[in-house]
Amino acid sequence: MQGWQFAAELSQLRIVGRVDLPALSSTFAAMNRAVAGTAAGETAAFQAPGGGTAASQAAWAALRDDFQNVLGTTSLNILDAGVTVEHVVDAYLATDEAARTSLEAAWANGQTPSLQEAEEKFAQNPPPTVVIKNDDGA
Amino acid sequence: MAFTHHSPAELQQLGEKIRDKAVQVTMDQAASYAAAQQAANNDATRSDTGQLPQVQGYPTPAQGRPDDEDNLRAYVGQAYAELPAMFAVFGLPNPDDSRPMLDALYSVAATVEVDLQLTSRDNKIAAPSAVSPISSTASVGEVVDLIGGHMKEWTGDAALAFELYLKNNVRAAALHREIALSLALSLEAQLEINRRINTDIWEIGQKTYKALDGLDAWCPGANASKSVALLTISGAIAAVIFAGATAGAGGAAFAAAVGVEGLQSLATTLSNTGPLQSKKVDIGGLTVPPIITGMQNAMTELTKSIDAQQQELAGGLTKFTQDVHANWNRILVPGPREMNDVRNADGASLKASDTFRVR
Repeated sequence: MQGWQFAAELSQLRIVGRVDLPALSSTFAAMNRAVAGTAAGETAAFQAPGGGTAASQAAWAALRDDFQNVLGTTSLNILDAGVTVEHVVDAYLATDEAARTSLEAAWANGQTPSLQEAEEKFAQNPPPTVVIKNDDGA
Repeated sequence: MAFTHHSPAELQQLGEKIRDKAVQVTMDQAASYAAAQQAANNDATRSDTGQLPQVQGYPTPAQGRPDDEDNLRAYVGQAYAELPAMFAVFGLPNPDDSRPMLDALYSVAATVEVDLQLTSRDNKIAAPSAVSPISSTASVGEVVDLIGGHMKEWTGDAALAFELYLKNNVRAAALHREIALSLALSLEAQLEINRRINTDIWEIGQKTYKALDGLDAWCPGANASKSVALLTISGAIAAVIFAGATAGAGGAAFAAAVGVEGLQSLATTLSNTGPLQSKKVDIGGLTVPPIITGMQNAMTELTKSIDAQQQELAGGLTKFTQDVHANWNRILVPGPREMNDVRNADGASLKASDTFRVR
């Protein structure tokens, strides 16, 4: 397959790498940050009588940190997969001038061809940053 | 019954009220007065002979007898000086102020999968108010379906491994939801423990005051005062898991109890907790000292029960976390190795190989 027909398939792949995977990454990043935000209230929620810390706090915080990191790492992994998918598109375009011309024309002026209705709602901004906890809790 | 939070300052004030009442009743009630006189005389003897007095730091008065009215009032005041601090030490931040933490966890669970179990609320036990997905987020399952559509003409080792990776992430999302709900559920339990600490220490104070007030009656020395404090702390976790069954916590418990394959839910682990229990502790007596002793016993019982609930919650969380680690590769899906192979491949290599190509 080559030329405009190949461009049509590459365009589908570019949507995956440029629209869908960043949107998916963004979802996991949003969850990561929501979980990270629970740290703000932790001291008050787990205060024990006498001003100490409740025995359950350490276990809860450890699980929360693990979960936060899972969501953050998943977000980054998916974003990274998107970069790889876009690389595949670009690598193929470098071998097929007709496909390149056809694809770039279709994507010119900020257009994204063949988007599904649901995809039009996906934010086109870069995914928000994630918050990863180190082993020392930082 | 809706929870009413008593601030640390209110607990301090309650302790001061009980202290003042204990001194007043001691000075007014004949039997308590006589008991205090004897205690003051004994402590004076201890102090004079280098022994440790029962009222710490009590010195034999420089003027007058230990058991005359003014010296006795000072002795009793010193004996009960610590009462306000004994109540204030149980002061905790208002558990309802932690609602944003719960809302965040429930919204994460709903982002993974909207769940009708999490839609209603109640004010007895904290219930989620933010049960809708985090705004502007795309549904994991929906995006993966869309990707499947875009890639239907693509095949090869890397392309297939990539699609499998995405499907595994959809499966992982079910586990993520389970973890979010278990974190929410354990936080609900922690906050319920704190609510019951607050309720129970207030109950102990009220019943102590009532018992003291019962001695402060018309016929000096004729009346024994009876009062019973009902401590609810031991049922805190059970209330969240079962009996509370209030909309939010109950819904979370139910949803989390369903669990997912390979990961026993925290709700299931904690369901081995004892039944909803209330414990009665007697606070009463013929004079002030046994009433104060009853109050201290109730505080000791409360402290022991707090420790037991905390150990149970910590144990459940630890076990659940071990299960999470045992399922780690299903929860944090590793990126496909085949995708690494195409990361830097040029077009010619891609065309020549079978890794990522159009059918």
